Formats: sequence, structure tokens, C-alpha cells
Amino acid sequence: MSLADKLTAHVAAATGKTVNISKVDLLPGGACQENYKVELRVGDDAAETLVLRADSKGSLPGSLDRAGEARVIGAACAAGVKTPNARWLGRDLTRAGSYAYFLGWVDGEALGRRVVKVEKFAPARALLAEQLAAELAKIHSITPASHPDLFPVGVRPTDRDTRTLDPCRVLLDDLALSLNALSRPRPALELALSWLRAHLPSHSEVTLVHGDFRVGNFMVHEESGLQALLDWEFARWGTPAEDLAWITLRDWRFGRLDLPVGGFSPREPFYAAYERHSGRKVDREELRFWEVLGNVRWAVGSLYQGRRYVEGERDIELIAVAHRATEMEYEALRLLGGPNA
Amino acid sequence: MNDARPALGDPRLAFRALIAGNLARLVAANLAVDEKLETEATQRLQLLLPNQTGDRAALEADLAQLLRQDALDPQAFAAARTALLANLAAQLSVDNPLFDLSAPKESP
Repeated sequence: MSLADKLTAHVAAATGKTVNISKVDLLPGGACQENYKVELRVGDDAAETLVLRADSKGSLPGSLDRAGEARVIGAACAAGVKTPNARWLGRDLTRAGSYAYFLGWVDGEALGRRVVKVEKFAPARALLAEQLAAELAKIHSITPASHPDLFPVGVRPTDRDTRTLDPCRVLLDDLALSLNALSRPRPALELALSWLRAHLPSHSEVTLVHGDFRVGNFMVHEESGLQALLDWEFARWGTPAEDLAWITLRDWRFGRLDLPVGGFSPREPFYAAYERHSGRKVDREELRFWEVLGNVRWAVGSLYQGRRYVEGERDIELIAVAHRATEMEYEALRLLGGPNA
Repeated sequence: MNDARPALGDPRLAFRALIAGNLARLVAANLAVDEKLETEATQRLQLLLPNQTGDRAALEADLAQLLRQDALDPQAFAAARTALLANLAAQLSVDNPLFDLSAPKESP
């Protein structure tokens, strides 16, 4: 049975209506998932363009499968987050044992380099700090108390008893294990982890975090700015400072090092907007901790991309990403000396 | 690479050719300075670990182990940071000469 036929049967069963699928095209990109552009018509409704998002063969450590993503997206949409809702979750549609769901197609630009550097996106860049801060505040309003069943317990290190969860310690322990499993020791990253262990924030509020909140995961219109947040595969219980710091990592500034928030904004307008929308006070020193941790996390993630190549996934981009871990290592150690070191 | 890429109609293939060309450049650049880089990095590590012997890999493994155990006092920790930053900077000067090693001057 073709993919189009499987999808037709699945959506028909889910909606109780006749379904006509005119196109199913595989889209490029995605480390943990396969995305297809699907054009369909359900019953007498107008024709729609959707994205089918499905589990791929491989997955990255800490990533959700599509069933987990769909749950998070449902919670995010209910909280008013600007992200297309997940519809018609199903299993075995694209491959045996894999989950998949549909999302509304959102027009715009997601490529980070274009959003940050192309002149026609200047109006959007002027809006993004306020818009993204507002979305983060909504994400961080989702807590274990409000959504106790959001993540099945025990699947990932952060999916534990949230009454005792310390997101900092869990992440540091996980990173230490990941580093230890690499074939070659990385003393620079071990030094950064040692510093992080010695400078743990005194208190970490536990909320939902996007987990990969950066330019490249936002759909942006050149005039009106943010259209949607994308890619919830790394969502988990965490602490708000993680998301606030991740977007400021050097590697996500696409060369605009003078504008630390995603290459489009200074820090203070973004932090001030987040404080207004969330009612939280942003601790700048705590953000430095998470910026160091973010660089360590991204360096480790990059090195594991290289490991995937060594273990047989012959995609040359994996080596290129792994080779850049040195940049994140340098940045993590530089930050230990203070923001101006 | 500059000869091959225009002949590749598939943009994805052309992008991969670009990556392959850059990786080849990296290998060549590293081969040209490999010994000097290795010697200087090893010397910095030997200064940190005067009681240890071995090549760079062995010294890095020893240092990594000490750091995992949080076994360095503040002075040794600061010295390790300085040495590791210097080693990383030297590697970056070959891998990505355009990488700015100074702190970004952020807009207020």
C-alpha cells in the first residue's frame, strides 16, 4: 500500500469523512524525524496543505518521539502558544512501529541565516524579541502541577518524579555520562562541567521548556515576524533560564555576535519583555550559568553527530557539525571568566 | 570543488560537495601544522601535570579524570582553563581562522 493510500485510510478513520490526498512529498532536513508536505481535502472542507511529521529510523539522545511531541504540542496550544496543533496521531503509517501526526502548514522563513541577515527581514527582527518573550512565558506557564501526565515517567532523565526533580543536576549528570562515553576525553568540557557543578543555582523552578528555543526553529514572516514555533522534540521538564539562555548561544547568532539574542536583539529588551509577560524576575548571573551549560550541551551534541557517522550513518554533514565542537568548547571556557572575558 | 559544483544540478549534492571541499581543506591545513600544534599543546599540558608522562592524548585523559573528580584547587583550575583555552585557540586558528577569539562586543 502506498504512503498516500495509508494516509487516506488513516485520516478517513480519524475524521469519519472521505479524504482525497493529491500530493505527498518528502521534505529535506530533520535529524530525528521525516517530514512530508501533504496536500489533501477532507469531506467538503477546502483543500489544505499539511505537514506529516513522522519518526525516523534514528533518534538523538533526549529527543521525544512523535507521540510525545504531539502531547507537548497539545499542551502548548491549549496555553495559547503560537504553534500549529498536532492532528490525527497514528502509528505504522511511514514505517513499522513509528508514530506520525499532521500539522498545519505555516508559510514563512525558518532558515536562521536568512532571518538574521537578509535585509527584507529587518521589520521582523524588530518584533521578534517581544514576540518570542511572550511565547516563552506561555510555555513556562506549563508545570508538573498543571500537567502531571505530560511526560511518561522514566523515559528520559528529566522524566522523573517532578517533586524531587532538579533540572540542573539531572542535565549535568546526563552530560557527564555522555562525555564519559565518547572515545576521546574532552578536558575542556570536563573543566566546564566542574565549574558548573561548583556554581549550581540555589533554586530552579520546574516548568516545561522548549529545549531548542533558537533561530532556526521559528517560522518568521518578513513583515509581521513570528508565525509559529517549531520542533518540540527536545521539550521536557526544565527551568525557564535554560530557554532564555539557549537562544543567546554564540552559534545561534549567525555571525551577528553584537546581538546576543538570536542575532536579532540585545539582551535587555528580550529579558524585560519576558519579565513583563511571565511575571518572573530574570537573574542575569543564572543565565550565564545556563549559557555555559548550553555551550557544553551543544558541543556534546555535536560530537555525538560525529559518532553517528563513525557508527555507519554516512552523512558528511555529521562530520562537519562534529568538527565545530571546538568552537563551543572555546566559548564555554571563555564565559567562565565572565561575560567580557 | 569549484570545478565540480557548477556541474552538480542537485542543490543538495552541491551543498555536500561544498562541505566535502571544506573538510579536505581542514585536513590539509591541519597536516601542515600538525607537529607544531601537537608539541605546543603537549607542552602546555605537561606544565599543568608535571608528575604525569605520556603524549598529548594521555595527558588529556589524565586531566579529564582529575576534572571529573573535581580534584583541582582554584589555582590549578585557573591554570588548566588558561592552558586549555590556548590549545583550543591554536586549533581554531587552523580550523576556522575567522573565528573571533575575543569576547563579542554586545549592543547595549
